[in-house]
Amino acid sequence: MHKQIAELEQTKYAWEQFASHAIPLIPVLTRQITTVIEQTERAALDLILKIRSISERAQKQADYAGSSARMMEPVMDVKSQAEGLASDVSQIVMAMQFQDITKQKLEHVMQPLLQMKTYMESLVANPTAPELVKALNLLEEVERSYTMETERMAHRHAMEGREHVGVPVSSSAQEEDQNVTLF
Amino acid sequence: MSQMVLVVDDSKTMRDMVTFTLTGAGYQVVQAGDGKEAVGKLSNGSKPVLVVTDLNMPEMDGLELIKEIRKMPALKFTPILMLTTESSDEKKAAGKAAGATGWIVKPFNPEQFLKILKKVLPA
Repeated sequence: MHKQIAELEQTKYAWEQFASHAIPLIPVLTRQITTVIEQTERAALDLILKIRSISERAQKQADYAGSSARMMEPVMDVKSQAEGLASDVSQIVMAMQFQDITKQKLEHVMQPLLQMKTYMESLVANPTAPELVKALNLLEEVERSYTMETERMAHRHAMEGREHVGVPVSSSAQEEDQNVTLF
Repeated sequence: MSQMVLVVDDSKTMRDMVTFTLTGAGYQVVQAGDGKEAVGKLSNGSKPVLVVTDLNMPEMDGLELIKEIRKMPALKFTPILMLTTESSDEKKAAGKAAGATGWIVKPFNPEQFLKILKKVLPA
């Protein structure tokens, strides 16, 4: 009996030690994530200004090429280059939207981390508190907070212990069409 | 005079990206950071030719915003495009029921986006 009590006390001590380290660490980790989000947002906004400038220059070149009748071949070459540049700008605009997509994914990681902090705090304060069940339910609903198929897939694969499968780097025109639904 | 489009998203990066695409095509853009701010901007009688809105936003989400817009007689038939990371059929059905005209999953391709605009805007 004494041995069992001693073991229970040791377990309780171990959990309290874990919680005392983990609880203060969670806000630190979420702050690190927030900093990354802010930095990438600033970088994306700077890039938008640069792209706007490039795009305006490309448009001026295309307008000039389209209006000039002299030296037709070099002019057509400039026009073709300007059109190529406009296409590249489109691809850059697409790629830059991953700042917002990454932000949302990180926020979906931060939310359960903060819920875990609340849960551990309650657990240490009163292990029999009825609110603990509610907090656990919230943790079980993590998957419901996802909005993207890539998040749902990563969650399922991780829960099943399957190997991580990377997402494709670029999307095809067919995939882009699948992303549009007109009612 | 250029036509006005209302762009609603809580991400400034996304708002600026859509604005960049639309102003390049000759549209005038008014931005709002959430549904509540968007309703405020529409309450002065301004009449956009199109509304582009995100789904998940603070204060008022995209579905609530669509419902509010559809209550405004002048905007009852204005095209509304959802632009969101959400891709589930369940949410798309909710968008359609609320009165959305179309659903685009982020990231959007600017060239494709302008083609969609031509489809949904009256000639």
